[in-house]
Amino acid sequence: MAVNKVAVKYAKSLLDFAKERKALSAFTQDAESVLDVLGKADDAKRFFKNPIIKAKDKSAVFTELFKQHVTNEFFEFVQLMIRKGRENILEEVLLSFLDLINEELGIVPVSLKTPYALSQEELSQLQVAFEKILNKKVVFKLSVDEQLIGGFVAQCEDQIYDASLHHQIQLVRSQLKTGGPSLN
Amino acid sequence: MVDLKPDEITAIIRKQISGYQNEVDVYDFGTVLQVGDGIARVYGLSKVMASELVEFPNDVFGMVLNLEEDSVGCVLFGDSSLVKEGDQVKRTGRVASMPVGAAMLGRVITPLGTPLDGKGAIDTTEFLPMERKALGVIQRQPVKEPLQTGIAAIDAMIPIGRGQRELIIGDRQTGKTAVAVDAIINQKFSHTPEAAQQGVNPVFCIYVAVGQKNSTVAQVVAKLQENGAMEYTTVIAASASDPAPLQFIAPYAGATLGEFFRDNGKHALVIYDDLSKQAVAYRELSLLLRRPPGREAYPGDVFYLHSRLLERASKLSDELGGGSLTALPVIETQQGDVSAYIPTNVISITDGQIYLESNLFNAGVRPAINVGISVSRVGGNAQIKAMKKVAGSLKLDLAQYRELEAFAKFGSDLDASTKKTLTRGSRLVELLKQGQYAPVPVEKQIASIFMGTNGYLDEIPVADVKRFEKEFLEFIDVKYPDILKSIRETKEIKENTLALLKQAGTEFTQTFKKSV
Repeated sequence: MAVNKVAVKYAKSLLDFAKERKALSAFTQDAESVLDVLGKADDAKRFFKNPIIKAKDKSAVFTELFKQHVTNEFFEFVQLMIRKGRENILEEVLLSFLDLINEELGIVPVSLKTPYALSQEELSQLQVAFEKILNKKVVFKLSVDEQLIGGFVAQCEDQIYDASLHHQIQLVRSQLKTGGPSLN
Repeated sequence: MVDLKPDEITAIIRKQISGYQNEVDVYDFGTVLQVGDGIARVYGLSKVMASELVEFPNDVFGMVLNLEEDSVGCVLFGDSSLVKEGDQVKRTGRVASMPVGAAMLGRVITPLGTPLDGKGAIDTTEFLPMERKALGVIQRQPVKEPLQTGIAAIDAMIPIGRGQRELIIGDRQTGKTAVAVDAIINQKFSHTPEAAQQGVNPVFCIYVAVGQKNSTVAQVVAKLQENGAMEYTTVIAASASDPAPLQFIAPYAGATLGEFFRDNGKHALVIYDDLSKQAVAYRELSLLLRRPPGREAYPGDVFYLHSRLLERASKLSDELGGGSLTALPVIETQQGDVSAYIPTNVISITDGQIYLESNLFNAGVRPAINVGISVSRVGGNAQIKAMKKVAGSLKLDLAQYRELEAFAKFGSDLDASTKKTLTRGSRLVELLKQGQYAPVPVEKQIASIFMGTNGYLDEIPVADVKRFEKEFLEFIDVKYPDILKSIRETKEIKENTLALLKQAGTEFTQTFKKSV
């Protein structure tokens, strides 16, 4: 989705702050865990987005949910956002923060779809291959899609590397439909 | 149906599959943010080119028109209800292009080159981009060969040369399409061996129907087929029910196909019927893409829309093969208003216009060409000598006639010279009337105009002029075949031909008068 400009500003300052405190990995973990919770609990997401609920209540809920699980600095950052009335874009901020961190560390997230769960060995082979192509460190986001039949589909930013059997069957189908000697 | 055994089908399929490359397919993609009214906004596609073709699900194609900061604006060439928010959009890596080739002749196709006539796949291998830059000055040469339309009034007074752009303009129901279709039918002669003997090169025709009713297009196709003109013609149809983007690109597709012939040293004639509807389609999609509207709500680049299309018509230099692309754009006016936005634009771009009037049409003057305000700015150079000779006095006589026409109702109160001008003029007007789908070869046009301008018709009643012309042409065809042959081959009126013409004229007028 198109990125909110305000979200990028917050994310950038969070990154600077993390660098200053040398807490990149801790902040990354925190952001991931908060996103994880928000992703799982739709209620929580709606709660933070709702403009009718007062900042005080939101702050209290956030404290109760995360105080024990995130670093103090990160906690304060979210509290600041709530005070400024920006908690509605919390998710976007954290997502772009993770993007910025990846960029900083030279990591490319690649979402990898396979018809069945891959073994560790297969994964590391794929990782080596992708790191060679992209010239960056690759972190896989794995998912299983049985429709692919065989092979894999890897998505990296705007590009798709499609080596699935499903796609190849589609290609053969379109080739048979249009190209080559006609049957009539 | 061809009788095919299952074995053979299997073999063909096996051959197809064996040629198939098994590789990882790498492509760029984007996500549909918003879709509606034939427009889609897409997020992603970061490396996409302007006017690149993109592929949506369900075989819907689109073209990228707007490259914005965080999204890409595409027009859809298919049904927009097949595309949903969140769908994946693939880049194709090629700018909007269409298949070209001689196999396109005789076919009815969409602007994207897919057949509409149910005659199966079109066997072409070459693709050319739809938007091509027009040729520069060095690659061109002045227009010098005639493009005969077979319509006497046009060939005599508003001649069109190969490589020219001549606008056909008029209200609805004034016979604009009829003029264009006649011009196509008349090219049939250029494909015969006799034409080759006389050094007339064949002209391939492309009829682009934009925003018309499907029934009208079917009618045109049927007429062309009936007259044997479909063999050298391609019809590109983007009818009123097609999405606006298809109507917008249809003329460019026609120009691309025409350029294919031109660049191979052949001659092509493209008819854009009509550009006012294309402008309307372009306005629709520009507004949907949120480009700022200007006069009559057309976007600012509506002039460029037509100028870049019509600039592609050209006569190539001899080094490049000497091919040509002639364009006959059609514009429909509202209530004869040529000062509206689109008509003035196109008038200023083209090398002249053929102006059709509903008054004339209703008065029975068909083709309803107003020769007073119709002009051809370059075609005169392309007229054959014989035609130039007879047409000079024709123009003059008609101009004088128009000046005095208002006095015609005074009848006998007029002086002799005025009367003479009126008599001559009314007969010439009658002579230039012509039926639809009945193009006349140039040598016959010359012979009959000669009769008119040299006073042989003055004593014939106006009502009998058409019969006179028909019978006279039959007469010289039989009795003086050398006249037509000589004009056809030498392209001028030699002294002895002139004498023969005069002799035939006197002889025939005498016999004809008895039959009146």
